[in-house]
This record gives sequence, C-alpha cells and structure tokens, in this order.
Amino acid sequence: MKRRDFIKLSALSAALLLAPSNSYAYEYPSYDGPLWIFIHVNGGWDPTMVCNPQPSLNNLAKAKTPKKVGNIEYLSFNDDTDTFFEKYYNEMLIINGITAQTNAHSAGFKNFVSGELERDFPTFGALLTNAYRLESPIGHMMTGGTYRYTAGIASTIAVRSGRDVLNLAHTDAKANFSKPLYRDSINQRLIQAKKARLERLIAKHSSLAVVDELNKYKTAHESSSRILDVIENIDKGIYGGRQYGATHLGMAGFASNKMTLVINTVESGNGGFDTHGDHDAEHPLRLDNLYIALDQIAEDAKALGIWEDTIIVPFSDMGRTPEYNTFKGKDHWPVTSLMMIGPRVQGNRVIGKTSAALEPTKLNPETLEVDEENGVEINYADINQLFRRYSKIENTTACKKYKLRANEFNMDAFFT
Amino acid sequence: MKQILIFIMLISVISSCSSDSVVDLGSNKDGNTKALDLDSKDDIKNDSKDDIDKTNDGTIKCVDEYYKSEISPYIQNCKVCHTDEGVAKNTRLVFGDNLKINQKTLIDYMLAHQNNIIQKNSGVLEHKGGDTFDQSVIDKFTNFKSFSTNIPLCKLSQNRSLSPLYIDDLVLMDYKEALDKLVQRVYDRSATEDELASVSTKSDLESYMDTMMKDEKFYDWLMHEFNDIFQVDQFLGTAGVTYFPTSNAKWFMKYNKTDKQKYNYLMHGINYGHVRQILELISHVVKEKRDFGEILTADYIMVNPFTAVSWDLNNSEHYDQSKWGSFMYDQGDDYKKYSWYDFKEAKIAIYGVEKKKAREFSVHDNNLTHYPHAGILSDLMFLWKYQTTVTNRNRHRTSKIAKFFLDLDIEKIAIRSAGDVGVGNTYTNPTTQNPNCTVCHYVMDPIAGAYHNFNHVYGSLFYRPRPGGWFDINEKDMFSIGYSIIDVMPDKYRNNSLQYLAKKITSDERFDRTMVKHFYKALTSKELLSFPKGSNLNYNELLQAYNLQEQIVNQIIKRWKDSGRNAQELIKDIVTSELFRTKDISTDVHTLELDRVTASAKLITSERIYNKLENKFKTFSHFSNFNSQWHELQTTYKLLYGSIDNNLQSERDYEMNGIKAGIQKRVAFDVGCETTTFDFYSKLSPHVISKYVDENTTPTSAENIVKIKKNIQYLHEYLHNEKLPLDSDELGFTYDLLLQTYNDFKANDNKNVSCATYEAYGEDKKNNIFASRGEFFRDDPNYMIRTWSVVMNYLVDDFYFYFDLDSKGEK
Repeated sequence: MKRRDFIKLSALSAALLLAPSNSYAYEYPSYDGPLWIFIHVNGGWDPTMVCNPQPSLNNLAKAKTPKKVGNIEYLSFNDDTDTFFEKYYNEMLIINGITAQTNAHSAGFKNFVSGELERDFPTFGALLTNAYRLESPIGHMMTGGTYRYTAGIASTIAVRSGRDVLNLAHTDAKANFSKPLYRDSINQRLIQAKKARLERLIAKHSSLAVVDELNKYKTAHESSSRILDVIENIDKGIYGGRQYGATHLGMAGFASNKMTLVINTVESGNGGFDTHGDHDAEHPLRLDNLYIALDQIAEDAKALGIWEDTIIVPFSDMGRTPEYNTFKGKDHWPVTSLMMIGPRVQGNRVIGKTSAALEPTKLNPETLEVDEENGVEINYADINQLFRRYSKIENTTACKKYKLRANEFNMDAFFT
Repeated sequence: MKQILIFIMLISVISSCSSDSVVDLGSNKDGNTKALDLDSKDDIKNDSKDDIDKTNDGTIKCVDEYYKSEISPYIQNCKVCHTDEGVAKNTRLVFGDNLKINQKTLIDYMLAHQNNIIQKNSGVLEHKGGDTFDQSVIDKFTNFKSFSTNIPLCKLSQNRSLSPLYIDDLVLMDYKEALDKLVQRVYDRSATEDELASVSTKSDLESYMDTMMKDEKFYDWLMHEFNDIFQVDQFLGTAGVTYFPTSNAKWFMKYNKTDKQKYNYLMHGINYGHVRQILELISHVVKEKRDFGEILTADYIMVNPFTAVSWDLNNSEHYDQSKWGSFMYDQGDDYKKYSWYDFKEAKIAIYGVEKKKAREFSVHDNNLTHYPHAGILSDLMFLWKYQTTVTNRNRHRTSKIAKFFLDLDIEKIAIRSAGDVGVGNTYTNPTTQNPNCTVCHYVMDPIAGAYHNFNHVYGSLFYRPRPGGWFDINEKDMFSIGYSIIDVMPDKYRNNSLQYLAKKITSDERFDRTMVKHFYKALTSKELLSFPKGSNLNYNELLQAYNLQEQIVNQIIKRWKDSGRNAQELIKDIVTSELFRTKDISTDVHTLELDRVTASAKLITSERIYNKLENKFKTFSHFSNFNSQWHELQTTYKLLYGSIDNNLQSERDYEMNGIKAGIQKRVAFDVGCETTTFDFYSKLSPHVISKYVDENTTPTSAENIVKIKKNIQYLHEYLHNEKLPLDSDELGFTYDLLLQTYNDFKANDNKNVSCATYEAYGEDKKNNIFASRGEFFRDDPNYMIRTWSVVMNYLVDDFYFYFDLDSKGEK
C-alpha cells in the first residue's frame, strides 16, 4: 500500500470515529479544496534567517553555514530547526523574492489577506466562505490581525477557545445540558414562529440598510444550529482547545463536514518579529517558537485525520533590510518570502529568488524560472489569485466583483 | 445576505432595463441572431386575473414585471433541460409553459435552496448544463430573489438616481422619538412615560439633556464610549499600573500584613485612579463645560483620593489644605468613606520614584518646577499604554495621536506600492531620504520629536530628556521637531514641546471634525463617512451619502466652535440635529450607503445587551439561585459577540454571524425559561413579564384572552419598543403561538415547571420572596408558566431586541 493511500485510509477511519453522532448532517455545497491555515508571522520576518539564507546579508548566516535538506535551504539555529525542516521539507514549498509592495505592518497584512493593497477588498477567507460555506457558523475564523474586512459577503468570527462555543450548540436545552427542554412539536412551532416573524420584518422594512442587516441576521440564525456539528470534534486533537483555541476549533470544523475552510491566526513568537534592535539575538528565538507552532498544528491536523487536505501558510507583513541599523537591528523591507506546508503543495521545491541586494527577481509565470527580461515579480495579489484558482472560486460573483490585479502563474507548479 | 449586497451593487443594471426589452442570447445554428421576444414564447401564458396589483401602487406588479422582462428570457435557456421531458426532468427545478407558475417555481426553488441557482451558474457548484449565465444575468436572478422577499425594494430600485440630496429631503423623528433613542443609547432602557411626557419640543429635549448631563450615569456611559478609543481599561486590575512609580508609590503596601481587606480596597482604588485618569479628564472637561481642547491642553491630571496620596500631593509646595484636606485619603481606618470614583484636578511635582533621580534627569530644564502637563498627551496612562522603544522614537505614539485627534491614519498613507524605490537604493538614511519612507516620516517625525523629553525606553512615561539632545535632520536621522516638516517648533518650546503640540493640534480644524466624529459614534455606534476614494467600487453612492452628511456635519462643527467647544452643547446639537434624528428620505431615492446614513440598524454590543437585560430583569438576576447564562455576555461570550478586550481585539465587530446568533438564542432561552419562571413565582411587585396575567390566566375565556393580549401588547413594547394595537396582525401572531403552545402543553398534561426547579434559599428565602409559592418551583397547574416561557423565548430572540433601529418599518 502506498504511503499516501494508507494515510487516506487512516484519515477515513479517524473521520468515521469522530463523526458527530447527533449531527444534523447538513448538506453543504461540495468543496474539494484544502483547509487553509494562514499563520501571520507578526512584525515582519527576515527570510534570510529562514528559507532564503544569504551569508552576505546576514551575520548569523555568515557565522552558520546554511543547511540544505532536499532542495530546501535554511538557516539552522539548533537541532530543533533541523528536525523541523527534515520532517516537513518534502511537503514544503518555499516562495522567495515576493514583493510585499509596502513597508507598513498593517498594509502588508491587508495585502496578503485580501490581495489588494489600496482598495478595500474582502479577505480570501470571506470570499471562500461566501462561495462554499455561507451556511456554516464557523466558515472563516480569524484571531488577531488588523484587517478583517468582509464586504458583508460572509462572516468572520474571533474565537479564543473552542470550549467557548459549547453552550451555543444546544440552545433548546438548559445551559450545560444537551437534551431539549420541550418536546419537538413545541420547539418546531417556536422555530417556525421566529422564522415567520423575520420574514414579516424583511417584507415590512424598506430601508436597504435595515433589510441588509435583517438578511444577515436571518442567514446567521439559520447557520447557528450547525454549531452542534462541530463540537464533538473539539478536543480530539493535541491542543485540547488551550493554546491554539481558534486554530483547533477550525480544524475540528474542517474535520466535521468541512464546516471551516479558512483559519487566520497569529504567531508572534513571544515578542513579535519586528526586531529593529539586536536582530541576530532576538529573531532566532521567535523563529524557534514559530517552528514549534507549525509542527503542533500539523500534528493536530494529523490527529484529526485532515492532514491530507491541510495547507499551512506562514507569511509575514514584509521582510527586513539587507543591512543592519545602528542598533544591530534590521528595519522594514518590502521583499519577503512565504512557506506552504502540507501534502497538497509541491513539496521540496523553492520558487523565486532574490538578488545579492535582496531585490526580487522576475519569474516566467509558466515555468517559474528566472526571466529578468520578460518575467514578472511575484506579489501577494498573484498569490491570492493562486489561492482563488486552487479553491475554484475565481469565477464566483464575489471574486469577479473584487477582481485582483494579478498575474496568472502556473498553478501546477505550486499545488499537487 | 450575499444576494442583497449584489443587488445593491447592480441596481443600475436593472434600472436601465425596460419591461418590454428584448434580450439577445446569441446566435443560432444558421448564424443569425437569436432574439427572444417575450411575447412570442410559451413562457408568457398569463392568467390575466393574477395581474391585478392588489397594492394599488404597482409594487407587486413591479416584481412580476421584473420577472417577465429580466428573468423569463433566461428561463428559455433553462428549459432546454429543465422540463417534464428534458434531461433535467428529475431535478427539483422543472419549468412548464405558464409564466406565473414558472415564476413561482423559480422563487420557491431559490428560497428553499439558498444559493444553489447562483452557485450552479457561476461555477461554484457542479451544473451539468455548464456555467450557463454570465455575471449580469446571475445578478438579475439575485435581484429577483430580493424583490420577491421584499416587494417594495423593487419599486425603490426603479426610482434610483444619484442627484444631490438636501437636508430638506430628510424625514426626521420627532423630539419624543429622539429622546427615546437617546435614552436607549445612554441608559439601555426605553424612555419612561414621564420622560416622554416632558418632551415635545427641541427646547424640552435640550432641557432634558441638561439634566441628564448632571447625572453620573451619563458620565459612566461617556467614559465607556471613549474607552473604545483609548482602550485604557486593558489595565484595570493589573499590577503594572497599580505600582506606577509615582513619588509615593508604595504607601499602601504596609497594610498588606495588617489589614488585607483594606489593602485590597486601597490597591484597587489606586489602580482605578491611574487607569481611568484619561477618561476622567474627558468626563471632567465635559461636565465643567470647558473648551474641549482642554483634553490636550490641561495643565493638570485627574487624581482620586488614593492616587492623590501616591502623588504625595500633601508634600507639594502647592498643597492646599482647604482643597485637599477632606478629599485625600488620610490613611485612617475609615477608608471606605473615600470613593475610587471621586476625581479632582491636580498638578503633580516634576515626577519620578525618587525625587533625586528626577532632578538628575532634568538637567537642561532650568525653569520647570512642575510636570509639563499637556492633557492626554502627557498623561502617564497614555504614555504607558502607548510606549516607545529606542528605535521607534515615539513614532507609534504619533500614529495614535494622529488617529485619535486628527482622524489621520498614517498606516493608510503607507498603503502604497513600494515598487522599485523600495529596494536597490543607496540612501544613507532612508527615513529622511527615500520617498517611499518619507511619505510617512514627513508626518510622523516632527510630532514624534515633540516627545523628545519622554524618550527613556522603559521609563518613557516620565519626563526624561535624551542625554545629548534629540535626533534631528543634522544627524540625518529624523526631521526636526514641530507640527510638520515646514512648521518647525521654535526652540523656546523645547522644554514644553508637548504643550506646544497640544496647542497646534487643538488649533487644527481636523481636531474639531474628529471630535464631532467621536461624539457621533458614541451616540449612534456609526462612523461618519470619509470622502470616498475614487477607486471605490460604490463611489457614486458613497459620494452622494457623504455630501448629504457633510451638509449637516459642517453646520454642527460651526455651531460647536461658536459655543467655545462646549461638549455638552455639541452632544445636544448632534441629538437634536438631522444627523441623529433622520429616519427616512422624503424622495424615493435610496441606496444602501444613503440608508446607512439615514435609517440603519446596528447590532447592539454584548455590554449593552447585558445592561438591557439587567435593566429589564435585574430583580431576578440578583436572586441567589439565578443561573442564567446572560452573565456570560460579560465574560465568555464578550469577545465571541464582537466586543473588545482593549488589547489584541481592539475593533468592535458589528456583523452578524452564526456564533452570535447562537448567543442570542442562548440568552433568549434563559430569559424565557428561568427569568419567566421567577417572574411568575415572585411575589415582588411589579411583575415585569406577567404584568397583566398570572399562571391561572388561561386562554379559555374572553376576559382572559383580553388580559393575555394586553400582556403581549405590553411585552412587544417593553422588549421591542414596538407599539401594536390589540387587534394588529403582529400581536395576533404572538397570541397564536401562545394559544397553540398552551394547547400542546395541556394535551400532554405535564404540570411540572421544567425551567427552574430550584429551591429558594439564602436572602431570597429569608426575605420570603417566594413564600406564597412554597420553596420549590414545581407547580404549573394550568400550563401557563411554561407557555409564557416559550413566548418570551420568541420575543427575546428577535431582531428588534438585539438591534438599534432608526426606523421601525415602512417609509
């Protein structure tokens, strides 16, 4: 049996074991894309200290010769770094030389999560939820982050712990109970009465703003009963809803009928990556924490049986300068890198390069080879376009309305 | 939701189509244009009787005509497969020859299957017929669904234009309605009958507000709203602030071993005093009717009886026994006589834990004998909340100042492509040379420089000038201190640069507008619109709404300035103005953006729902056996409901989602279940739920039915502010629910109260609150307690309960 088939079978078994016994079994539109877990490496990381190690631009890289596992070159600080890259290199895609197009933290974040720097576009999470999981109460989860605009097309929720939603699953029972208080005929009549009242209000109001809110209220109330579908998968993973509450709840959501499709979370590595001072001492400490977090999330996905369909994407606001400042720190630099980790990405591959001065190189969109004459620089709009295409939403109404100013890169070079 | 938004965006498409249009759907086999003439196809066999528009104003006809002109031509495409004999005959969407029936078939399908028809035809869901429609057609289907569920929208959409609107076009609430809106906003309750009776004119409302603005509760509300801006409540209860290194910081520590209760009281009192001094300053300036600019120019800070001791005020050379003698805590045993919430103006000594150290750091200060107060700008809590670092050099503080006081988001200036200028440059100091950096640093650096005396990294809340002077352009490091790069600070202000900055900001016209914006948001939860960007997808609609809003705002700003920037006058002006009182537009011109300015609905925050529940049912929430989850609105559910924690989650989220709906249902269940039971069992008076009925008032006699309907009428008003006649349809629907539920319970003959089978104990038992009912709540002899529980669940889990509305219905 091939390794991948075995994993699939294991995942299926796990899914069967974990399937909620009292699920409403709501039939969501079919989605065969991945669970996207975006990890905001908060503050602007230094790719020359991660996956684009350049000894000429980084004292630490000069002191420690970069290591290589497969085709992935990285800067190692300790055995833990090596363990991380050795464990995941085969399922890891690196994109170097991305132009973040800005040196501002919140602008960089906005650019990545929406693919648009200047205009207010909804996040990718909102677009994907709009297309496939409007009826899910937890389609898109977002903790932290300064930009969470949805354009009203889908909801985004902030959750600190999966446990917080437990008493919201049985709203026809007393708190901490699951058995409905009244018999079904009473409950059904009550539900229908509320529905009918809402329809009357929608028909009565003629302010477009009020009707807009009424419709959102209606959609939200229809979806809320489906919280039940996810709670049985909470705490099945290794976190137990503790440290990475939202991430875990989202993964449990994906394991439960793919109720969650996008998770945006933050990793500050205990202090943030904005190391304007003492960069070589501070930055590696934070990267250590990042690698631990990435590994934990991957392990959690495996425990839930969803690893095959999970893509973890650590990204950052921007990069850091080639030179050190007078405080031995590195300032903001609009060229950066990102990783994609998971069985569905073209692992053991590095796309893109930077010059000796940490400038981005141009790439041929089809071959992804360097082509300074006819190529284009890759940016966050291009990457969002890849996410949209891979998730099969680039032709939806909302994506057409919020059309990206993006180049079309060869998707097969990025995903399996 | 999605459909409505798409509809808004594309109304223009509709309005350009006339009812007799012919739609070209492409070419036929012969290469000829295939035009579908509506009158020539079988999908138009109408029953003429159905064409009679019962509304008399053409509204229903409008939807039918929309279907006929905009949708029906495309149904011909569907009918290639979706007919009794077509390949899609076994699907849930089968069309025939009758236009009316097809219209019904389509809308039934669209309502039953949410977004399927949109998704199948836009490539999201599999559709064996392929991606049949282009975008404009999908939008038409979306509009059709919106019109069918809300018929008046159809008419409104056809009347759309973007001609300018004027203040005279607005329909306003009367002053009673405005009073009610204000009271709900500030006190989270409806106006009482007495309050309503006292107001009929603008002058009455202003008088009411004059009284309101003497009430401490008003200032509690005001500080809560301004905390949304400064978010200092993050530090309530945190040790870092309690132990602020003031001149006498640890005076209360001695009580830790001798009197723990006293120690805790003092410790929390000090913490509260420090944390809330910015908010107390704002409250103080409003209460005293001072020029609101004083929030930045005040030459004092606010202290409470305990922080006054921390600041060692009685050792100040300016100590005045008559002013401070009875206010400052005297360290006696009567500590509870002193309130955390009393605040007074105080000038503090130059600063610091140790006075020697303070002097050491004031080397270049020859004349300064007091802390250089500049209101919030120099407030220790502000400096603590927004700290700086060696490399940040007060720039983060600058970005906050620009946002809070000038409505300028420096991060938005930075939203521009770094492009080629961001890399490969040879600038020796990019922040002052590289255009990609200077775009922000031009704005940031001069103001950041005004904090040059507060530079010490971890002691950055204190006056500690940087040894050797501030960075400046001569060092090629930062632009000179000032208000902008061309408005450089004269050197004579070097020791008082924050006071210089405060004067500059408060003289800036942007300050006035920003303050109006803050007060407007406090009163309505709505943001004033900014001038729309040209790239905005709804530019025309936003511009129209913005222009209308600005006509009003500019007048308010002018009047505010004329009043000497008295915030009480500003609050009265906003509340009595069109900005607060508008509930409609007198023309038939509507856009989503315009309606958001004029008549909108806004989700009430978790804190306000909690207050609302407390105000309406507080008798029960204070019962010793009260177990309702609504308390969780202040804890577990607070962030889930979109509230802020003043730290990582700093923006309120007013969008509905499934989790929030779950919380609403949870609250409604608990109010319906437990609170209703308490209400029926309590012998306290008045009963807020069973006001006109008791558990024996069954719907079995004419007399009882009248009582029940009266109670329903009262509850609709009490919970929704919805005034319904006894014979109204809406009241009838609620009564029907009650009657059917009663019959259901009766048929199953279970007389146990199942909501709250609690034993009365503690104070409730002692006070004999439930004595007449026995100690256990079990009996429901006539099924009515449970019946009302269900009805209360229905009434609380309602859009009108959870939203603020400018208008309660049809325009």
